[in-house]
Amino acid sequence: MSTLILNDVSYQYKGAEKQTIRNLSAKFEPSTLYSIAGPSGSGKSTLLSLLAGLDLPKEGTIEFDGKSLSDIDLDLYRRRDIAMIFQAFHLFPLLTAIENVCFPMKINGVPSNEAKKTAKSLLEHVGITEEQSKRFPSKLSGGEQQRVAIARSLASGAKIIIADEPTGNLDVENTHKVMELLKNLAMNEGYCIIVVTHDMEVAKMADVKYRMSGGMLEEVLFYAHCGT
Amino acid sequence: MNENDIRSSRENVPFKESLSYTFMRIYRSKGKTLIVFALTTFLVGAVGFLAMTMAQYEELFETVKIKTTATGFSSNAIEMMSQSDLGDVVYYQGHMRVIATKDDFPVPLIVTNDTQRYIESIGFAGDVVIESHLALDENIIPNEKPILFMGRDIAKWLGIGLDDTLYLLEEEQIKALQFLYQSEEYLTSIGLADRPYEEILESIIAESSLSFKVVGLIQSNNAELDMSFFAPLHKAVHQINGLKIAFGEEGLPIILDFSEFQLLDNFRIDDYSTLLQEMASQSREDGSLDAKHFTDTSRLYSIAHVRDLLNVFFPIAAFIAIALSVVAIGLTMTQSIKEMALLRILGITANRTRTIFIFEHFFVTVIGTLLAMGFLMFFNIRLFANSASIILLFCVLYLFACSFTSFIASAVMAKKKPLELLQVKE
Repeated sequence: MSTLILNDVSYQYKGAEKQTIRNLSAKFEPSTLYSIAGPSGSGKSTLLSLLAGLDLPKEGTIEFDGKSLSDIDLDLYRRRDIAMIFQAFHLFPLLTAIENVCFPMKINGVPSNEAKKTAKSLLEHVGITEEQSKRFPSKLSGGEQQRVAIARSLASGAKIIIADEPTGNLDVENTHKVMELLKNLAMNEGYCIIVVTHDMEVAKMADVKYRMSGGMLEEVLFYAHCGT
Repeated sequence: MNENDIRSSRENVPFKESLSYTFMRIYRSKGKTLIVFALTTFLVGAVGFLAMTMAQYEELFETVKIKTTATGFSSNAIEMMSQSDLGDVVYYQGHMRVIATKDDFPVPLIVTNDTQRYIESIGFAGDVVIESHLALDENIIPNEKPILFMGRDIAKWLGIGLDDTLYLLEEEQIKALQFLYQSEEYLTSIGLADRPYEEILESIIAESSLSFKVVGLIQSNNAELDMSFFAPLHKAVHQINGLKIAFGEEGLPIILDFSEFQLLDNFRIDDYSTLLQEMASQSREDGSLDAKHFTDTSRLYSIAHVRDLLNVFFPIAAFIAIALSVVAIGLTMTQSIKEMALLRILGITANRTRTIFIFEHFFVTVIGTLLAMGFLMFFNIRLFANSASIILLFCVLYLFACSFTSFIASAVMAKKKPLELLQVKE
């Protein structure tokens, strides 16, 4: 089971006057959909970087399955243990949908035929047809692209998915579809999904809701209808 | 899905996949690839063409023949030019009268290094037959004694044939021999009376005269040619200059009717001109020359001027070409910022990410360079071969600059945080 534990994590950018993240402790477990909401500048992107192994905390530790990130190969960690999806989807524009999904498998040494077979299965799982899978991202709608991105994140075998404003560029219908998909992955397939969002409606859908403010994370038990 | 199906390998990113991804990028990003490719081909081709033009002008400069013609130069001039390394004695001719001993008949002695050319120069259009045991090439003229070609009529009149020796004596020497011939008493007094008289005469003549080996007989049906002697001057000039002979003032060099020289090294034209001036000043004490014509050297100087301009312009053009490519590659690299960031987020190492993009640009520029060189070779293989070293040097610098640019650009991007790079507007 893949678990991320943050112990008193602090981070300060070089030259910054104050810490962007202060004594942050949290636990992210499987089979759970987490949301992290907060205003701009609250440290959400920094937290994402730390969780994704793109940077290391200045103080404290981040542990993945009991091992500190500072003690493991972070490139390997990002290749097989953690996946990210983005507001702007960030699919490879020169690869078709199915090639995008195959990519993480191929870089993990999965043979081409096997990767293709698995990619087809994943795309079907997220609701992308075979015809759509042969298109380039520019020929897919926003919702379709995000679903391909989700399939790609599943392809590496990672059990932790970090989603940075995954519905930011989607309409209401597609927002709902994507969030349902993520919820399903968490609830029924054991994924740990961490969604960073400004959208309160999206934040409310999470099993565990966090609010980030001033570099600190606090759990929110419920959101008021009009509150933040 | 089965976790094991996905995680069948935990090795580092296979190099084959990186390479495959790189070639896929090259193939699918047709627009960008074509731009870099076309730019490379054009720039390398243009600079290469400039190098070939330089080579052509260099060749033109060295092959322009500067010939100098002069009338009134002396035989000393021939010696001076022959002994210097500045010029070649292409042709000379002088025309003197020699008194043949038989019935005091004056005949022309033409000093020339090219009998055939002399005959053409006097406009004789008839057939000329030169009988000789040698090829008519002064390079194989025997060095042991001066040589002579004779008109067949004069040869017959004097009873001389091929391979015979002809002696030329000055007037005073002839008088002395006549005296000897008539005075047996004198011979007896000097102890030569018991030797055959002809033998005595021969030994005296051989010691005190200028002898020529007759190596060719000329028959042309032209009265003057058939009664003339032809001798290359420079082989015998040291002997002629020292003799007091009827066909020149005592002790002075022979004045030539016409001489022609050719500059051997175009880079030393100034030294050559100086030598010609010196030769002219030595030709006559009174400094007179009938005419002097120097080949117009303005063409050579024009070519040298263009050549020098090209030599200055070439490094500038090469620099501009490299600079343009560096800018183009820098721009295409910045357009790949997000892709590089994404590769890093997906777990490709920083080094491998850099390698993918550096290799991509290197590959395209190498192919473009090879294509440009192919065009240049097709255009003119000889000129390409002559300028190959400078073209290859430029290509190496070009490829190095392009690769270095993509290396630096990727290194700069690698220092930034991937998530930040994803936010950058391309």
